[in-house]
Amino acid sequence: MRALLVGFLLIFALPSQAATEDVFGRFQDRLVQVRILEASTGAQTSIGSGFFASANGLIVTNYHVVSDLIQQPTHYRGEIATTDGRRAQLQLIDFDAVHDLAIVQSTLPPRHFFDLHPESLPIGMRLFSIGTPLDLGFTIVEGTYNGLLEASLYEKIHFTGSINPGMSGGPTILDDGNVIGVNVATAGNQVSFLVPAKFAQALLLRARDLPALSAMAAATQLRDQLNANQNAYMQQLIGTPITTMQLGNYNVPGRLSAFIKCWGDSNADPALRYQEVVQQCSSEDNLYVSRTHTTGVVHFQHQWLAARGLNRFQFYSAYQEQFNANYPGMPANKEDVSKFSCHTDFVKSHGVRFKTTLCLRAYKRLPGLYDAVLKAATLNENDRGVLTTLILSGVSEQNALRFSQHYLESFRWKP
Amino acid sequence: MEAVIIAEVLEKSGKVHERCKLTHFPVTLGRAYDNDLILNDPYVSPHHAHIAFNENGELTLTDLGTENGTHCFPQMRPVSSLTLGTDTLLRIGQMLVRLRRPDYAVAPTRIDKRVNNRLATLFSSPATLAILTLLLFSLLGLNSYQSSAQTKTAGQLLLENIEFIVLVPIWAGIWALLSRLFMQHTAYVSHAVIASLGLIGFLSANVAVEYYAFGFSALRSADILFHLLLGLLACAMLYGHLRFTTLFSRRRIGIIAFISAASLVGLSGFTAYVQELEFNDTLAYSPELKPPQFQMTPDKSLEEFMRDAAKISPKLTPRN
Repeated sequence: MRALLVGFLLIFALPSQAATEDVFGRFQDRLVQVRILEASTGAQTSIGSGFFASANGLIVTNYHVVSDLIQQPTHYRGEIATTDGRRAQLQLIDFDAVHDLAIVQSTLPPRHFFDLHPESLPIGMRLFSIGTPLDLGFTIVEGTYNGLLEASLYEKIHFTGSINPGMSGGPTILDDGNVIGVNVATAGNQVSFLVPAKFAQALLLRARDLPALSAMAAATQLRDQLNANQNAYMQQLIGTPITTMQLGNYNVPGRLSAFIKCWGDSNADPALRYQEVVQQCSSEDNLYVSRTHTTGVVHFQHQWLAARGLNRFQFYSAYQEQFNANYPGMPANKEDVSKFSCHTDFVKSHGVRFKTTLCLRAYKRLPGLYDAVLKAATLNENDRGVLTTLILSGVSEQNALRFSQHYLESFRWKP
Repeated sequence: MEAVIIAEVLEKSGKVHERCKLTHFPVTLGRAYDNDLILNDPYVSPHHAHIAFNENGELTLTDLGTENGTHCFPQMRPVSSLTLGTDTLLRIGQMLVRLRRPDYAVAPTRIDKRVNNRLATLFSSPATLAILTLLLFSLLGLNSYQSSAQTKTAGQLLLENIEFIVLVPIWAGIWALLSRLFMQHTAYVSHAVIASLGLIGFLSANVAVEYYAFGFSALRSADILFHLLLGLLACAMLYGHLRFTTLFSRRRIGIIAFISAASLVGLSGFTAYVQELEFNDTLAYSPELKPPQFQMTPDKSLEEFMRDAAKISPKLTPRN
């Protein structure tokens, strides 16, 4: 019986292995490694993967693989290397920063190119992800299709397989060579994400006859893409009535949209003489702008504090300490953003009294976009209250103000 | 005839350098050693002048026809013969000589404010120190108690403030040492009283500014207010300490204290300004939360708040 089982496993395992080798062998001449080099010395600063996707040599890769060429065009240049060792300078043709895709082109004519397969597949379908992980040479990884990510701001395919750094921009294909998605990210432990092929197809269509993109035009295009993107989801958020959830004796904004996930917890430390319940909600997904700068997050959190035998001064002291705690970071450095400037005042809305602060900082390289932090503390009672923080990263000023108002308007208080 | 003249040789500053009582006349003045009053100055003649009774029985000074002469000071009127009044100031050679009669009316007694100062007495009293120490401990304890969300014993509250409690005696000790060096008295109690008052002032200023910042949603003005209060406090403390450390006039001590405190505030303001120029990603807002009763400005509507908030973005110039 045991011998029979072993036999079965072998029977099932063998064709699969053969297929993987076969897939790699058949398609490796369609793959490239994308290298970003320091312009003056030619030293390699980062690598990614890419693949030929048209007869005239357009190469699909990730925006984040080539973003240095947009952010610091004088400091970096790019080149591609094929599996047979040919190398050539690359030029940026077009990109879609929101879906993390870019189209580049080189003088090397492709021997073959991949076709894109934009339709969805049955879950469990076997896929092959190809790329150059950690600069170890071209590698193929086998995994399974697990459908589109639900509840995400940016549509992605959940791929169960190990995508590692350096494989970004490479294709994930069916065994017939049709590209299902573009490798983009991993959450570790074989949980990886692909950009669906339909976005790459749309970008390819648009880029078909475009000349090389100048750095100046690229910067404008990046801003326009991020601006249009934030406008789309912010308009959706502003236009939808906020569903609230109960937190202590307050009603507070709940899961604002399908793309936002919430987590809750409470603090039961017996040494503390107040009770604390925390709710955190976040769109989780962010957008890569540059090495130092990510954006696109919607995050908010509420803390309900209720005193257990504290006088008003003691309660407000603890309340202040929690209010003062830092906001979750939005990575950016001084070339990317200005400092925060804030406005603070007392506000009353639907019977809820707040101390409210709204802080904004401007994106220096992407004019018209801001990071916004709204903090508010309810001031209705001497021994209970809700602290709330809303973070909107990479939005227009008008959307920041309008949604902040929409957000605070939804609070209710039951004495 | 009974007559007395007090002769005083003055320094250039006006201080008396040498004084002698002349009772037997005639008296001779000059550089030579056979004079009654020897004037040690190269511009004075060996036999320069003499003082004797004239025919009317008045004491008269007569110049003996010297090269440099004798002059009334400060008018510099040359004198060959002068009847002495109650107060005569002469320039002999390059020396100032004052001749006064015993009936010269001296100025009224000046009141020594250092000795007859009720405030100074209060500051030097151990009872004051005891009361202030008690007050300081209570304030520190109260402050810790009101800002704690955990149950604490009196011992824990005291321990939290140990640095302040230790700071006062050390600070007073340093000043006492300086007093000992310059004034030969330590005035430890006075310095400790000043230190305690300073610390009480600091704690009060801190609390006052926090409530101000909350009540008026203030950030920058609260900062400025705090610095001004600190400056005022530093100035007052320094004034007090110096009063017990030096013999300078009050005006002088006041000036020293003011300049020191002003430079301290200026320096800390400058440091804050320089730090402000640096990039950071902290939120520049006032995080104070106090019981709602301390709110000092009326509630705004959300629309009004957002209208005001719209003024933020023009401040965010791409350069800053």
